[in-house]
Amino acid sequence: MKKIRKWMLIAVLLSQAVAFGQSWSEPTVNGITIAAPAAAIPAGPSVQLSVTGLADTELAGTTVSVNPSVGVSVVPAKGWDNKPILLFGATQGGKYTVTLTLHAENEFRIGVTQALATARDPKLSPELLAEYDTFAAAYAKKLAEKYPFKSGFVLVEVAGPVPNPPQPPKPDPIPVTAGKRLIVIIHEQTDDTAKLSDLFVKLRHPAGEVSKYLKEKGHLLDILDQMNVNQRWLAAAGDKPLPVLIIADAVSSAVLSVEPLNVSMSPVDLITKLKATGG
Amino acid sequence: MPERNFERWLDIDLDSEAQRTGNFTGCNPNEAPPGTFRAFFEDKYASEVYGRELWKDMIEQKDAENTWLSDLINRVYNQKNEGSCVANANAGCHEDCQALQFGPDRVVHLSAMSVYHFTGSGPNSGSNLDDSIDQVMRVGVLPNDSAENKAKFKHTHPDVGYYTKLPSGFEETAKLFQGHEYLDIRSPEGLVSCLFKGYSVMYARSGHCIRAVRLFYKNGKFILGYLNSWGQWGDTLNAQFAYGIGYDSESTLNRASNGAICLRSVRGPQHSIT
Repeated sequence: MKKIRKWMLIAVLLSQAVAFGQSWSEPTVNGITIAAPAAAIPAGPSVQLSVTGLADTELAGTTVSVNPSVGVSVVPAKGWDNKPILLFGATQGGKYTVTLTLHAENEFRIGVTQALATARDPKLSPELLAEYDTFAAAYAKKLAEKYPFKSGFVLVEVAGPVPNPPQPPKPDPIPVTAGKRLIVIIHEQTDDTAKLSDLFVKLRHPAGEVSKYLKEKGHLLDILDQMNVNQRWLAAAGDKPLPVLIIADAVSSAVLSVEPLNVSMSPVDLITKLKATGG
Repeated sequence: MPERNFERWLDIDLDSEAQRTGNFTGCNPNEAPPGTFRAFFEDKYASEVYGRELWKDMIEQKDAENTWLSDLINRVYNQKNEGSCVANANAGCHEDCQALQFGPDRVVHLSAMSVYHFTGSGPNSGSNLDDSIDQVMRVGVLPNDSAENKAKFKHTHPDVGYYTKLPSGFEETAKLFQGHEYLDIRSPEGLVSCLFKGYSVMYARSGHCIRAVRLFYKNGKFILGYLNSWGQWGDTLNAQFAYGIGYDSESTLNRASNGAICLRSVRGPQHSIT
């Protein structure tokens, strides 16, 4: 008997360690039942949801949550018969999950109970198993009394128009103002043909039109391998295939233009594109 | 197209030429075979290796449009009387990449000695390509001590002078000029394809390291132009320099290409923008 008690104590300590170490994010139906009308309720006025399994004296220790929570209110209250109810009201149509929990801070007790079940070794003899089960049941009861915890949830359907999801605000169009530009050409190794190299050297040639134009206007041109470029420019390129040509404001770095680079383009085309962005 | 004296500068015995002109070489053999530390260009870019049957037309096109990378070079290195040719070639390749990535106007001229100081055991011991590449990849290169660089950078170093001490904390500036991607080359087709694709190439022969800069086609034969690090030596490089390059015949190219290196991409302080 002494031996099994020590073994049980170890199992209890381990199960508590497991329970305290875990977070229980899923709602557990444990002791509380919430009843909602089967048919959809109208949006607007509050309706009563009946609650069973919860004493009126326990109401003060409850917390309630609802999802989604926009335009909806849920209030624990007592009905005319002094029994706990939930007053539910929603301004918009939809399906709402309402969860009522008593002593949420004691949710770990569920974990302990489950851990005790996990620690039960079926290889033990029937006599030892019987002793373990008696011990576990008594321990669980003791926990329930010391750390009361109950929970229940229900799905409530509300009739009415379902609001459109909020639209993200449209950014104001970037005004095209004249100024210095930063041009970034991003390429990858599979792009590196002789033809692309020819274009790059033409863009760079000291005697070429582009080089002179860039110098005159104070624009900067960087030609970089995708593995050697700042991530923000890769992000600006988005899903455009490489090689890509990005034109940005040299002061604010605001991206003004992004397009695939035409390997057959003439260097003068770059000047045209720059002028179109105010460069 | 400038007049070129191929006959005068073709297949120079660089070791003898160094002795004749008072210049120095300094390329020691690598300890490991090609492909040990870097991927081969021919493997990584198998679909972009141009066969000899294409070279003539590609040369004509590049000549007509002035699209050789050598057209962007705006400096001829001079290693003077130290055996730092490998570092000179390596730093020169870094500047070539800068010219393409950021533009010739934004090239920061570099100190080869800031590399050779760590790869050579003395002013004339020479060094090998693998050590030089490792130094540039890991640590980087310092800007040379021009007035412009001294105004811009915390640490600079002269181009020559093995015994000149590097400034304290130099690593902070050197890492702004690290190499990003080097590739080994094992064939003349690989070497020439690198030139067509605008990659900077260095190779070694006669105990000397030089930079391959472009290809010529003359009298039915291909001729490789290389940029030396002997200052005002050799034939016309480009519109800016009436000196700098020598020429290697096709047979020399065939022999020297195995073990050449290309530098495809570099880091630079200009990256603070991009």
